[in-house]
Amino acid sequence: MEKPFVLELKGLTKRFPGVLAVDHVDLAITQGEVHGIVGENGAGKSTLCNMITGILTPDEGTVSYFGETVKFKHPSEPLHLGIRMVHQDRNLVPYLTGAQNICLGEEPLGGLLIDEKGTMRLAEEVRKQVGVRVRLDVPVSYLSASGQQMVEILRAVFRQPKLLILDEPTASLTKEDAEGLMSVVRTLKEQGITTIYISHKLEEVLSLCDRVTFLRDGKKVDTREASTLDRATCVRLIANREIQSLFPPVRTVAGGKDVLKVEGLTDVTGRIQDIEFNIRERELVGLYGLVGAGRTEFVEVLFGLRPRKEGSIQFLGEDIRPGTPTMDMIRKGVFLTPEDSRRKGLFYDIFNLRKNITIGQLDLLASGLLGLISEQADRNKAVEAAGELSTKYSDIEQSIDELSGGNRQKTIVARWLSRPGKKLFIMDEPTQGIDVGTKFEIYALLRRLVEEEGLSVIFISSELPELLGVCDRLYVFKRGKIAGELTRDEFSQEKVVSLAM
Amino acid sequence: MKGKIQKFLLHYGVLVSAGLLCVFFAIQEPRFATMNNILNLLREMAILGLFALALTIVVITGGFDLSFASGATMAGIVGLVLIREFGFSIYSGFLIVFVINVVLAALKGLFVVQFGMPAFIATLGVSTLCMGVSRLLTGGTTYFAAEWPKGFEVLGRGEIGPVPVQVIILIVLGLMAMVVMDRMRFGRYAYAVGGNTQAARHVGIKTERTRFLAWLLAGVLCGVAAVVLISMLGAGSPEMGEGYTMPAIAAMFLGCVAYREGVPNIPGVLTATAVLAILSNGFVMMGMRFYWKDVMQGLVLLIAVGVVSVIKRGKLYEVIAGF
Repeated sequence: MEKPFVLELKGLTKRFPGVLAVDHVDLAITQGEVHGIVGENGAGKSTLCNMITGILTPDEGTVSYFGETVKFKHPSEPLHLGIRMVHQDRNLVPYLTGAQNICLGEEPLGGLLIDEKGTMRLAEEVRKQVGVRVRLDVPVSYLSASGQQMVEILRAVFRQPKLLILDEPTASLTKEDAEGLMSVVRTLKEQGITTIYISHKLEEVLSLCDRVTFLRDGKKVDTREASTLDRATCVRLIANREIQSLFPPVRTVAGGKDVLKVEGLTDVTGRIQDIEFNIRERELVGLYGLVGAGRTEFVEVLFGLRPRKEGSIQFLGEDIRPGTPTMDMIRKGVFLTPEDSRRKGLFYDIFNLRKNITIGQLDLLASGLLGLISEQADRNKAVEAAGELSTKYSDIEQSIDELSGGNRQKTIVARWLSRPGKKLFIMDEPTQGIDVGTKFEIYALLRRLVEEEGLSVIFISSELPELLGVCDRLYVFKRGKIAGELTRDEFSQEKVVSLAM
Repeated sequence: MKGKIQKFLLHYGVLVSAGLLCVFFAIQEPRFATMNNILNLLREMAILGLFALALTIVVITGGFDLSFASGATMAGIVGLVLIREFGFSIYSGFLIVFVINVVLAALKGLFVVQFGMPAFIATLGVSTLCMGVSRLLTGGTTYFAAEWPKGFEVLGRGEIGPVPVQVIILIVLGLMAMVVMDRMRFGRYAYAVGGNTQAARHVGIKTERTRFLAWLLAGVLCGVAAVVLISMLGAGSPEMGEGYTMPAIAAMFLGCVAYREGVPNIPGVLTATAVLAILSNGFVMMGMRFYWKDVMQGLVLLIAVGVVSVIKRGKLYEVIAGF
């Protein structure tokens, strides 16, 4: 007899107002496998997992767990059965140590008091079992993003799960840390833990998973053995289209004049030092570097968000004095879309989609003596801006929470794109955590801005292939300094990596 | 269907309950629905409404204020002393009361915005300090004059036609606040700063200046409230503002769940002030003991905010949820 499935979904369906988020999905996961789930943003991956973990109740269909049909009434029930999910957003208590976070809710007690030594011992046992190196005796807020991610996973493993669900676990990790995390998943697999692995990064999914399920528009497209798949097949299954190339064609059209020239730039905290940089008209310049190498800090100085200590910035031949406010830079035509859109880009609870778009142009929308903002003008502007980028939404007044990650990113881009007078566009990690299809749209947009609209664009990314794919020139950052500069004909993966390390 | 009822409750629950309360009191007590009483009710609303507006503007930018009423009290008493003991005219006396409030607001803005002190603690300190000064000036008792100069009572007790002056003041300032916060750039920026300071900086908003301006605006509203207060009472006591602190905070919170889902807003706080005023007026009209109004006001706040918290699963505006 065959082993029973750990998890079996039959006809699972979930409707939200106006959308069929998950549409009659069947899925069977066998004991001990690592099962990848991939699809574009909004394909239904998270909704599907939220039904498995009892956060959402299915409208139709059944979930069977070790052969028994289960209906969860409360998210705590699957926990007791050994289903653990590590969410994309971290859920750690920042003031507590790694060990305290891991044992949270199940602390060993000595009488009425928490046994802190016991807590540490238990946490260390789990850490050794999984075989990772992360400090568990300091508050987790001191840890790096990947350290925190490891603590999240240890916390899940501590409960001895039978089924572990990881939602985009490597989205904010560096490449080395992502490797580390994947080897953790492999170790867990050897210990018999079944894992569902959701990711946008196809390379990871292909190297890690046994089988991969593709979702598109809420429907299951197919489940395949990972060994039979290659990248191109995956892209076709995800996007339902043949993408001849992953990047749009690049036609270098850079002009002769410098739009921006930076000399000897150092910020007050010393996070960046002695930066020499220039970008010409109609040029797309990439910034590469490890997380923390100073790329974001550099553009923050340019955008007036971070105080400058030394050095000069010339924009269109004009000297930009230290202390020039961000609004002045915007008025001069410099726009920045920040990394980490949840924290730095979007206004969640207070502003709807419309206000999130027009907040970048209120100075232009205000009219009359009192500078009143007309709702009608506000709405027209937002609709126009969102339409330009083919943002998918059902109502311009809808909550930003209801948009997929890719469309949220488009919202921030739309904020600036429809603003007149743009000269220099800075995009910091615009493709982080978004799907292949939207990524391609962004690459195409970047090239269009440069080649057709005559802008200069600075593109920051941690994914080297995309920088090599679309940029005209590339700066490599290393520990706050520029380690090197490459033009398109000098591009090679090895060169860049050796400069960055 | 269920979604629609929820949406309706979320947006109009406070307004509907104001209407229902009016109907209830009108049936119970015929005198409630007379023109005279309605004007009275509005009169009761005015000062509370001004304080609540001031607080709401500060909260929108991510601050909080415990000291608006005690600051206004202190300023009012200083003004009374100047007028009675030092022969100041009522105009200059009132102007000084107003200015003291604005200066106090600027100080609070300095503490909270520039020094980064937690608003709750900074304003608790300011409040205690102001109360102390008020007691020192009055010797702890009520400070009054046998006769104040002519025109002293106009703002607090006068009427234009049948309408009390302070009601007109509330309506005018309330409308202005609505325009500023909902239709002008400053208002949108204020919400942006309170909602996500980092993101606000990234769209070029001068976050510190916006927050400081919000404090100043609140100071202006408190200044008007203080002048109306002494003019209405014709006397000053260190306790005269105390009765407004908690109700104004309650009105601000209750206002957060009117029209918008857990976000402080001007129309909401005005409606909420009306609900509180209707409750206290109605119970007095029915001849119930005065203290019932506190019981009812507390219940209304708990129920209203409770309903929204349950529907929104605790996803209230960050500032509000923090308390």
